[in-house]
Amino acid sequence: MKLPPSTIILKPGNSEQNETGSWRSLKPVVDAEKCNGCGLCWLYCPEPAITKGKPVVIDYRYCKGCGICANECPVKAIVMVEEGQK
Amino acid sequence: MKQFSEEELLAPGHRACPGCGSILAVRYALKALGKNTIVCAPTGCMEVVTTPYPETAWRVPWIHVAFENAAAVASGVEAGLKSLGKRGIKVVAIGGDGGTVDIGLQALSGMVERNHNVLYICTDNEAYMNCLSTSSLIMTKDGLKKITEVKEGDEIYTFDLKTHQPVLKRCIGIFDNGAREVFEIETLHHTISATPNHPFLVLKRNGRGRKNKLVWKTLCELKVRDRIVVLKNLNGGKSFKFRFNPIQKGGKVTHLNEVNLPKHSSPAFMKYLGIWVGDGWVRPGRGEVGFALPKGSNERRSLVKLQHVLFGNGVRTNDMYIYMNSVNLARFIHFLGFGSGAKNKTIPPWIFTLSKEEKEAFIEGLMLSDGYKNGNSFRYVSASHELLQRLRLLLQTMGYRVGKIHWQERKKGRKCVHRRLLKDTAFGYICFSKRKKWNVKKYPSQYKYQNFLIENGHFEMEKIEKIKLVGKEPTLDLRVEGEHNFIADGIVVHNTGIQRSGATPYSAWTTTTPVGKVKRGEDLPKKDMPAIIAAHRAPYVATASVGYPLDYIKKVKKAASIEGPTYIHVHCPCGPGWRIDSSKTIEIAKLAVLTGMWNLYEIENGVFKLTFKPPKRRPVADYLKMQRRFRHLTDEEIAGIQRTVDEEWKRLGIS
Amino acid sequence: MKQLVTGDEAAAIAAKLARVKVISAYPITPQTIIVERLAEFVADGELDAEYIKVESEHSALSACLGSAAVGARTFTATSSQGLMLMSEILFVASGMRLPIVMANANRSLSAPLSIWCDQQDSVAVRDCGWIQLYCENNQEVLDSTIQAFRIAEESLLPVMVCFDGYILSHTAEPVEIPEQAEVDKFLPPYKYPYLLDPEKPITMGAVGVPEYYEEFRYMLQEAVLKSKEKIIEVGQAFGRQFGRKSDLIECYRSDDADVILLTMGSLSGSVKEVIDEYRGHDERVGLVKVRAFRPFPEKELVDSLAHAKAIAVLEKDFSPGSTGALFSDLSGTFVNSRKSPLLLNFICGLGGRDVSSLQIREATKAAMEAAKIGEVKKTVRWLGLRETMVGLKP
Repeated sequence: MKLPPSTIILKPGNSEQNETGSWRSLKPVVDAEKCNGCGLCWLYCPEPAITKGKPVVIDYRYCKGCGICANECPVKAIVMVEEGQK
Repeated sequence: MKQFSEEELLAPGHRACPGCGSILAVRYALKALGKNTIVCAPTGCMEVVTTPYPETAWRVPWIHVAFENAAAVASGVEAGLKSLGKRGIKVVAIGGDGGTVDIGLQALSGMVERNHNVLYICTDNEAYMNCLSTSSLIMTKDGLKKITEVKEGDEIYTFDLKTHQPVLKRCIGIFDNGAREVFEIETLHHTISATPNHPFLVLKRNGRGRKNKLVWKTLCELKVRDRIVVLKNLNGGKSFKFRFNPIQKGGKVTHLNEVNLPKHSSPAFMKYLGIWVGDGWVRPGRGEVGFALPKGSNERRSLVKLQHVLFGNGVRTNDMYIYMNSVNLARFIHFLGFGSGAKNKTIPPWIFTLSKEEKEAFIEGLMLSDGYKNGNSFRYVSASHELLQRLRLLLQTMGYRVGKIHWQERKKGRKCVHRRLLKDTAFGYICFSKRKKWNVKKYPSQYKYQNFLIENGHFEMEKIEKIKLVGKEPTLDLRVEGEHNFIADGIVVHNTGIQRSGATPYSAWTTTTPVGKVKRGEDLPKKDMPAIIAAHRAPYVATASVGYPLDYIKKVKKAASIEGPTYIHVHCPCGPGWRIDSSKTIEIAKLAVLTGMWNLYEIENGVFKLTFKPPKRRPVADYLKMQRRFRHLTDEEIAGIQRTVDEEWKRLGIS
Repeated sequence: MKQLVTGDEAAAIAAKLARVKVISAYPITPQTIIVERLAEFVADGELDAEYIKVESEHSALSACLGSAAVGARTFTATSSQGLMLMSEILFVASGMRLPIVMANANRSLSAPLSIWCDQQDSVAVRDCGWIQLYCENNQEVLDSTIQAFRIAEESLLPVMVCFDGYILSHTAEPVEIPEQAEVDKFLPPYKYPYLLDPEKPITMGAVGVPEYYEEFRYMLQEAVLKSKEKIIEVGQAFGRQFGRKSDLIECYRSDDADVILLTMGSLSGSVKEVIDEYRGHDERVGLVKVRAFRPFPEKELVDSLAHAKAIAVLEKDFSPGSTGALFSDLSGTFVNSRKSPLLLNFICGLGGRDVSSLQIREATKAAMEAAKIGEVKKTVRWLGLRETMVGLKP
């Protein structure tokens, strides 16, 4: 695989191949009943690893477990649990 | 919510810290700007976490050149597009406070003065970021490795701050930080070199009746007699499976030297190897494995027995040496990674992953060859410094107490262990012994006072004996996911450091404005960048916050639509830098605005306009108390900061 | 059409003929005339380009990288202190493989402060990964600058065209100025394989992690080495079209010489006159002039110098604690040869001091003596030094 002449990357957004979900020690769990679909968690997610909807869907491939979504959810529909727990 | 475009022009998979405020600022800006943008970035967090070759998180054209010149590069891009008649593409520079407020100010000033049609966004996390010396040995899942050998994806032992247990985490990046001044910290049993701004986990005594805590302190804040967290014992480990392909029949391999090589490690084999490290050599070309063990010695007897048990075939002997002829055995031993030559032998990483029994067998073998008992402890002698260094760490993971490496020069003829030196040699030795078991139940609080982590099976506290400057060395920064700390040279170290910038707020702790007896954090106020750019008569200047994304995005859209130089300064909380929990980023960003410590405004053609006024301004203590970078502040100091905010509001004409 | 122009003017005219689209430069003596002439061309509409009035040389080169990355042919010029200020970005430009052309009016480096000529400035950055071409006269300044654009764009490497400050930059000589149409035929429009374009978003300047860094550096080395062929090819194509060809080095009466002088830059002209004098007395002396200093024309120099008995390297620079740079690079090429001529180093012309024909003859004589006895008594000598002032003589 021959390299380009300098550190030029031709595939935009190919960082997607790096699944940062393995970084987590805590993970967010959405209570589908409580979620009102406001989308604030999607807005505040730094990765982003949330898809809008009612309920929202967490993309665990990339979620780093920062906890912003749980902290900001206006109806407390997201809780952070130990990775490995259901 | 509809005002936020769905399109994500920054892909996930970037390496920003969990909860990073700056990456949110980038994500929001791109939502406002859209596809038809070219981004110029200086060196900084946002550049490093989004573009480690060959990965990029950017879905728009992006260029990075150097640290201080994003605005100059953007000027060139804008002029280039203009000269080619290419219209409709917005040129945007996105830089941190590091590359903008201090070293980048000249280029930014030039860009604004020349009236380039460029939007400059400064993502302000109020400081800049750091390292271990490259000789450090890191405890990884595959065993002990030099920091320079650690690769991305390797699993590294870290110290879980909640449970105080060792836990494996992935290494997410290694960055070269160039030659820096390096200091050496010595405790009774550990030594580590690091740069002055490197954080260590230190015991803080809060006084009688109060709880003692573990806190992060940088090397320059450490004092002799401070107690730091070190590794005592790493359990687990199992037999190591060897992946070695022996040569089949043909050539030098005859039935005479066919030998059954072990598929995985065993106590007997480890003992054999232990003896080999001290007294053995290998010549793979000749297919020879030899030991210098004189006739009649205990060691020779042990070895011959082991040899028989392991390989079955015989040995050739003479008075001084034992030989085994087997091409495959020679190649196998060479492959195991112990190195060759007395001065260069080492302990390969996989030894560290073995079970306790096998490690003990290895030590037994080592002691049979080059070790001896000295009073109540043992000594091991070697001409290889690296071997002694790694052996020391190996013994520590087995729960032994090990002293420093003593190095000496001895003349020819002098007796060393059980032979006479054939020539002048330099060699070293280490002393080690089993730990005495403390009866913790008898005097619990006393023992706990002596060693905060006494009940911990894996870590303990050790007093710092010496701190000295060793000189300038190349340094590396290791990033570990999640925990942000790892175990190097047996000591728990953190992987990020924070240095002040011109945007660091008054009184904040950083590693270059630490809190000490004489100075207490940053002693200068934040540089007023919006005012500086407004003084250049830029048509549009604004402040923003990631806590108010709607306000920020509106401003980006507005600035982008204006022909001419525009500037937005966006406030971005940083977990590691401000010492806040990763989940609090948005909450703290909002608090900054609600307490008046950060104000959201525009200066359009010289006219100031507040774009958000908190209904009832909250006391600054609400904001400051949430961040450990401010926790040294006394009530009086907080009152002083409250006064400055009150005055600033008066000056800005906000009531 | 022949015109009387200074070296600075020649560089500006060359940039105009090359139809540069972006000029980003900061004035510094003795390069100032370049940026002034170009400003005039743009102001009069003779040159359709964006002129960025940058606030420093560091920003000047940074802006060049930006404009080159979006597809605009870019030009800058500097000298001495300015070259040092932008030195960080010199390395970035070659590492990012962006084709920028820069004119450098050779001037000595502070301290002591000096605005006069020597070659310390460009020699000090010989490791920055740029192609370096040196000019003997103003005709060469014009020719090399035009050729530089084609060399840069076809090698994906930045090129610096160096010529002596004041001696060339401010001295008028008759120079043949080619027609615009002819230059258009010689220089096709700028095309770069990787551009910043929202239609095809790419990332430029990513972090060179340890897994890849060495490979990228190796490719830079390969590219600079390979550019030797390109320099020869473009020099010959220029010769076919305009009647004046260029090469990596130039040999003057050196084929049968026992003693050869080696120089770079305008000094070559003065040396040629002294060579002619010697030849008039049937002394076998010659000159080899280095035009391309980077890439270093190892093979060509060995071929042209090996037969001689002694080589006198005259240069306007030195590395404190060591010898002159041209000398040390040259010694490296002979180090593994069985037969090497004796090498002598002469430091001269520093800070604008005139290198007289007397000094050149002094150097030649020393080389001849060394050739006669087969030994070099003193490897490095300083010409024109006033020894009483430095305490060498009472």
